[in-house]
Amino acid sequence: MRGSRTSGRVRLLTAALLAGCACASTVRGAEPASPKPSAQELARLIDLEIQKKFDAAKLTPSEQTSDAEFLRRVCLDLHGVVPTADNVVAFLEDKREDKRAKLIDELLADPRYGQYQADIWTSTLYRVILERRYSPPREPFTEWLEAAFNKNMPWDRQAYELITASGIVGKNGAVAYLVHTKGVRPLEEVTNLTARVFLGRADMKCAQCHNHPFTDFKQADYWAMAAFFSQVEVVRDNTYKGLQNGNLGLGDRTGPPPKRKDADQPDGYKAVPPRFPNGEKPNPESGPYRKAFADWVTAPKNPFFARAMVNRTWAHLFGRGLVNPIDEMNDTNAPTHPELLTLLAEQFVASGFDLKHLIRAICNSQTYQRTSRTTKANAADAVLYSHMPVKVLSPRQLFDTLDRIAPLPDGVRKGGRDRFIASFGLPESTDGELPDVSEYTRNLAQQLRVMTANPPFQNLPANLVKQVARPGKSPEQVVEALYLAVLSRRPTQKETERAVAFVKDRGTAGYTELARVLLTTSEFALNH
Amino acid sequence: MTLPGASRRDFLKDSAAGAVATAAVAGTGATPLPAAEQKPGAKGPRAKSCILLWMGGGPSQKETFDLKPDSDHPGDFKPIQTSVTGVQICELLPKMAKQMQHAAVLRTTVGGGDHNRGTYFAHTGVTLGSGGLVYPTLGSVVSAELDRPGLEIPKFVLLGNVRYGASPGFLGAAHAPLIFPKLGSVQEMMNQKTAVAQLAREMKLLDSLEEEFHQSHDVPAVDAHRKTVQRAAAFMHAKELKALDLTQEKAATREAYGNYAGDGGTPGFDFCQGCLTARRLVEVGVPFVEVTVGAWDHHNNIARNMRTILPPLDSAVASLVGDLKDRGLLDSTLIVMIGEMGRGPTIPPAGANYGLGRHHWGRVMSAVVIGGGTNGGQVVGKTDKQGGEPDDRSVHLLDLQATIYELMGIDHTKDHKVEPGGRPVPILKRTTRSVPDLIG
Repeated sequence: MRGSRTSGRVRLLTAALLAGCACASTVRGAEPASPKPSAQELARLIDLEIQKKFDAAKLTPSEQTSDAEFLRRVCLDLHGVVPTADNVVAFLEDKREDKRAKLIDELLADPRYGQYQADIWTSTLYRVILERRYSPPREPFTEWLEAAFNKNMPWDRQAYELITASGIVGKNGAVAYLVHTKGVRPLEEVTNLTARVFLGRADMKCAQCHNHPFTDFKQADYWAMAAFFSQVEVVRDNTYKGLQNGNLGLGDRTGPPPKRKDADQPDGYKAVPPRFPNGEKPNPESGPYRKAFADWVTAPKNPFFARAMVNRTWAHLFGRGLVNPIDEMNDTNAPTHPELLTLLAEQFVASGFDLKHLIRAICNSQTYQRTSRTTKANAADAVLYSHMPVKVLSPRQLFDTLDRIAPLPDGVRKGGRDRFIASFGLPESTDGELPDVSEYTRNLAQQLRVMTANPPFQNLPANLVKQVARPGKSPEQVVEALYLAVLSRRPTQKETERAVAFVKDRGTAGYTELARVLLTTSEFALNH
Repeated sequence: MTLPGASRRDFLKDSAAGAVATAAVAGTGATPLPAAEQKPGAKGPRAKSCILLWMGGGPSQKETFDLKPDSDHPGDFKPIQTSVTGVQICELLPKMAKQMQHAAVLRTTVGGGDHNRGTYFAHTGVTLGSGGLVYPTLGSVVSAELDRPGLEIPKFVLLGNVRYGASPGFLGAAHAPLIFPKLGSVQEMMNQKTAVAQLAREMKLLDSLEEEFHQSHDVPAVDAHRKTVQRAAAFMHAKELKALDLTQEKAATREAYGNYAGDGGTPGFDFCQGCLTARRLVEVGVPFVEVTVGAWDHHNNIARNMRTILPPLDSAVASLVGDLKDRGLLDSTLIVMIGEMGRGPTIPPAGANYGLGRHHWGRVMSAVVIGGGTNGGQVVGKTDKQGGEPDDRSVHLLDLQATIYELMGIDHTKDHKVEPGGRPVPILKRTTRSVPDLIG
């Protein structure tokens, strides 16, 4: 409906909702053989859709990953850390035909999966807007997320609980999404974040101040949506004795918001009652508003919710979304594979918003397991997945990986992790949008941090060498151990020769320099 | 990202020969600017470097450069005569008062705002959040627009901390500043770099081990990483790093600049020693240095706070101006002292939260511009009796940014090209023009 700016599109959307169509797009993907395909079946369907685009573009994709390449990639993607040297050897020597599928299952079942997801989602949803002393404690929020991801709480339920969370942070971590000590997070901030993350509609925030130039979302629509958060009020429970600001929480008033104290309102100001983006009123009209909004967001028929999470999940695994940027899923920004997006969104809904099922399916696909090595013919392709896009190790992946290679003492790790991640600090944008993982943004100072002896990893090369250069081991064996630890693979014959020549007769010092060089390679810095 | 200065091979050649320049930095005069680097502004570049002295928090104009003894709330301090007849500044700035012939005081600077958006606007010329982009700060634009071949450190150095977002934005990591949040962090960095010969050896091995991966992964991220590593290696032994070593200055000089590191909640870079460092960086050819002091948010006890901050500020800025003058660098070094907003003309009675201070005031503020080929010895703009509103013409923050760009030879009427898609984004709003009193 490009170009249609009137309520024509709103009518279409309403009709679509009433008619039970689950998506705004009318293109349909391949039909699965059974109504609820297994992860393997869904993986095959993904590959079919991807192949269609190769055929249309006459593009020959690269080969599949080697075992080592696959292992490192999937560990970084699902656990945010590289495999240990032992993991690598065990996987390479594993003779089972279905070892990759089994590995994916193990990684998803491991509590580290939830930990890593919680880490990422805390960054996305919980932002320190003011100084820490005004903010609710972060830990309960992260813990809540971790538990939810690990028990594979259906995504619609997760979103519902976050949007409607009540009680105090100390007892219900989810509450931290909406509150800080100055009051509820500003209405427009919450609205923008919710629209961006759960609906994939970052463009809605533009309508805060003016009608959006290209999409149908008007300023009145924006504030009508924001009104769903207008009953929220801050509560405190001063009997709580625990984390600082853990006594802070949320409740809901009944009825319309209280009159503003300042009678001085600009001309043309009018209060807007809550309305869904499709123009419909909540039922009952007096609320409770948050519940009504959460129900609408998470309804199977909501045209945005499932697509947004599918796109985000795809982007996490592939470094780019089927719609890019990932939160701009509006009419003017078409997906590269519309049928595939629709298929996955439908399946996500049909599975009961089962996130692990979605991830399992994607990871089992040939598309995901394609190498990142380019060929002359397909190097220029950046959108069709003829080779796996290369991602940059995020600061937290970098920290956890370095920590795994040569573990830090517990006391050092605790404060060190936050500081390290902050030092790779990305420019503060206005609403917490994280940068593209496919974009290399590390700057000089950050690279120096890795290359020079900066705390907390100043002793890492030396400590690693201490671990692996045991008496009695040949130079070839030590070199292999270093490669396994740092690059999660065995060295080639040529690499072994070069490395052995380098360390020749120089003992520990030589190995330490070699270790540092391996840590400086592109291969290490990137998730390929 | 381009590798500034020598290629990696040249770097290795130099280091293998053991030739690391140790020329003393102080007093050797500035590096001449080759004609090829100049991108002509309307009148041609005059300033080779800019030192932005960022007064974070919003310094009160009535306690610094725009005293109003006849207003209802004049504050505790009196104006004093300066080296320019008719121009008076705060009595706590006696050293700067002797140098006002070099300075232009802009008393009706407008366009400021509250900490977040004011800081962002003063640094980028754009309202926070608009355009859907993160816009680049002044220093990053200078870094992107000016070439300094031969400079082995970043073109934009930040000493201190600018809160609330002043970043390279869409210009990316290549034009991010080299940041030293604390004085100690400089020393830390100097201590930790790898020895030259060892570094050369490691870089050679790195190249040979990386070859196969680079060839088989023909993607931008790989190239970007490789270049960043090369830059980092070149940086570790950059000849300009000597500028950061203040032990090379006489103790008397360091004392003349003074000390002040109070920065609100967290102590930051010592502003005074930062000014000395900035002079040294300018001497080695760094085109943009920002030195920050964030302690100006005087909601409480403004008189007491001013007595703490103004004397060291006075020493530092006066020493900086004097040193540059002595070295013949003042005409080619533009100094801009500015914050994100002014402060209220009234001092409200002591209350529950705040007492005896001045609150945020976006309607007018004072800025000071020195050197860089500008016309000194003047006041531009006059505020009203209370010192809260412009009484005559005002100077917008955008005009000030245009002036900086023009003096440095940057054509601010052209566009950035923002990826993806090459979206054209003007460096400054089209209608912006430099302040004629400063340049004419």
